[in-house]
Amino acid sequence: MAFDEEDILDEEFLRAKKTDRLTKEDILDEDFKKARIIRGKNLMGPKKKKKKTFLLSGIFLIIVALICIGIIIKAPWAYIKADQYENSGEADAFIFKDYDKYDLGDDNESQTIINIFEPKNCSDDCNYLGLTFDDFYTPPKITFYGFILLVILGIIFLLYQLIDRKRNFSFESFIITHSIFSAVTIIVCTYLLIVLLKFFGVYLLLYHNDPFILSNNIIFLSPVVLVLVFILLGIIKVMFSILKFNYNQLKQDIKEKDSKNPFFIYKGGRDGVILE
Amino acid sequence: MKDPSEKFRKLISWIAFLSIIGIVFTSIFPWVSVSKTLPIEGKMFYNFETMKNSNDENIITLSEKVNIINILFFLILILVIFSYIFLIIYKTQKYSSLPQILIIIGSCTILVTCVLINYLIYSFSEAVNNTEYMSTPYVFASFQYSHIILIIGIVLLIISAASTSVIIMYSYDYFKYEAKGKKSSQKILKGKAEKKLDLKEASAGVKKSKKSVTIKHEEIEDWLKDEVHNIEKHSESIKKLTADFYEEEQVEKPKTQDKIKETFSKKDLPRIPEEKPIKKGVIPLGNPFDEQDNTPIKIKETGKTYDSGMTKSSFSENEDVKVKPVQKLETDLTFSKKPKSEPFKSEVKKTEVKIPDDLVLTDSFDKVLSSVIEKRQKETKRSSDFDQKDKTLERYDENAEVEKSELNGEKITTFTVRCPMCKNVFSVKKTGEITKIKCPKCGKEGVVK
Repeated sequence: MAFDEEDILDEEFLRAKKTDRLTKEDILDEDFKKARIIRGKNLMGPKKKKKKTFLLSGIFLIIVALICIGIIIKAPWAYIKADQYENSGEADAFIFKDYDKYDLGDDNESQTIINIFEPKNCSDDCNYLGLTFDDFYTPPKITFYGFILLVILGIIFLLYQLIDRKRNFSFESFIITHSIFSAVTIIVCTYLLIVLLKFFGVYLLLYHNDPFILSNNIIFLSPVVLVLVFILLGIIKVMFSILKFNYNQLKQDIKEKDSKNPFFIYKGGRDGVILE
Repeated sequence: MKDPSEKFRKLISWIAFLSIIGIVFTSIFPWVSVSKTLPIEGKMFYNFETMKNSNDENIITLSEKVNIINILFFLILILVIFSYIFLIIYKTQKYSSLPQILIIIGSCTILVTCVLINYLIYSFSEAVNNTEYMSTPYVFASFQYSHIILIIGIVLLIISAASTSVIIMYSYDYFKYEAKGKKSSQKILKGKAEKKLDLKEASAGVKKSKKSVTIKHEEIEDWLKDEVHNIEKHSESIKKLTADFYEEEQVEKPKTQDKIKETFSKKDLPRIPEEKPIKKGVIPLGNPFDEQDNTPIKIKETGKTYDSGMTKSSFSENEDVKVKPVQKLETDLTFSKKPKSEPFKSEVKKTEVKIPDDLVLTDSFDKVLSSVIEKRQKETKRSSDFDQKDKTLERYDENAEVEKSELNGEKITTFTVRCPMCKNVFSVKKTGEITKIKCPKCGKEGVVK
């Protein structure tokens, strides 16, 4: 008597068995895929290494600082024009970074402007308003060295990035270094901003102290300082956005990995999740 | 416990922005107005720079306060930037608690500095108003320049207080749970060490005190009770599904529980009989718990042997065949989608029945086979019914999920997880990609992905 499978198993049974097998295989496949994903293995091949983007913040900082240094050296910081004492004519002066270099000589009338807010009918004690002409010669020098410091910072960070390409530091250490670098830049920029803000204070003082000033038509212009202030504010903004970018990158990285959570990770469960 | 790093980051960004504005305003705005009679009657305004260069002693002393305010704003900015860096370091998870502590210190310092700034602004305006010939300059009407800086200081104070409270509350919870976790882990380690010591002592033949022995037995009993309870729990579903089948066939159920209880009474670990590997061409029959002779029958016919896989006990003397339930097949059909994480695995290998074609059988065996085939067919129908039931159940579950998702706007799935600390198994409802959970037994917090 021949004994075939067909005799024992009817069609329905076979079909059920086939479908059952298929479903089981599917489930196993899904589980396997899930397990691979959880264990950080890419299904399409080996896991891609996270590329560290060559951040141009160092180059950006060097370029911007060099432009600012150029402005500081070449362009006049401020222009002051004021009437002299009664019936003695006008006096004007440019404030440059290097005072000695641009000294106009004893014959020039600008030397007579000692106090910007020189009061009318000034006697011997006429410097009670402060802020002499010479006070404006210190900020250009400070800002010059400040921008040189920024250039050095940019070079350091550029070098670090180049070393990182060869030594391949960890992603986290790279981000921390980058953040420290941007933080130092913010601090330096803020200090330079404080130094430059002296020039802006003058406008308010001129507006308020108008009746006490000798000249009726005193002119104080500082377009370069305005440009520098906006550049510094821009650098601060960029550095803060770099800090935010770094933070968000770490946040994304944690979302992807989710392995370094401060608490226990319950990698477990029946439905396809591994239990540890 | 929600991670407040994002909230904290936003708050400190606001503090940084306000501190920069504060620095700008303190440098630009006039702080003092002095009423002069000579040479012209009127009010003269002084800002931070002019105050420093003034020849009036009172103004110079006041300028020191303004200078301190300016420095404090700058200090806040530096502290905020460092807090930002510490936050980034904390996010890297390289150093677990150190950046957190530094953030707390930084935020507390910012709070104190803000308080100091507000106090200095207030004291400065008071000092100016107390002096006869001095007054604080007005922007318009009665709104002073110093009021703008005072408002900035107050806003800074509020934001810094909020950020400090956020970080302190979070850190308090974090360190509290960490301390709990440490304690429990220490307990476990102590317990393990004690057990190891006991084992060593036992191996060395050292006599122990009665107390220690009784405690150990109790522990084992408790553990066994838990294990048996778990087995019962997991076997409930199996029982329900198999109940109908046994009732119809009027076959004795395998007394698994009784067996386990017997073994428990003997203070031995419950042992489940090992599943023998099923060869091809073997129809597995018989109860694994039957203590009868389960050796397979070999039928000799025309010089060929056929291993039926049936036991001798399955045949009666009068050739009235009473076939016992095909347990393995049943389990295979009904519980093929069983979870793997159950304590006592009921993994069943699929068996394919292959019978040689050129086999000639006796009449008695033919009868047996026909009965087996009939039963199999019945089983297939039953299994299909079971599958249908399962499907309906799944559908019900799916519907339930859909309803839940409609209510909450998120998919909710239930998982059973085991706590790594206390090994407690409990169910969890998962919403979204990552769900934070808490062990109901030991309170250990964690994340389900």
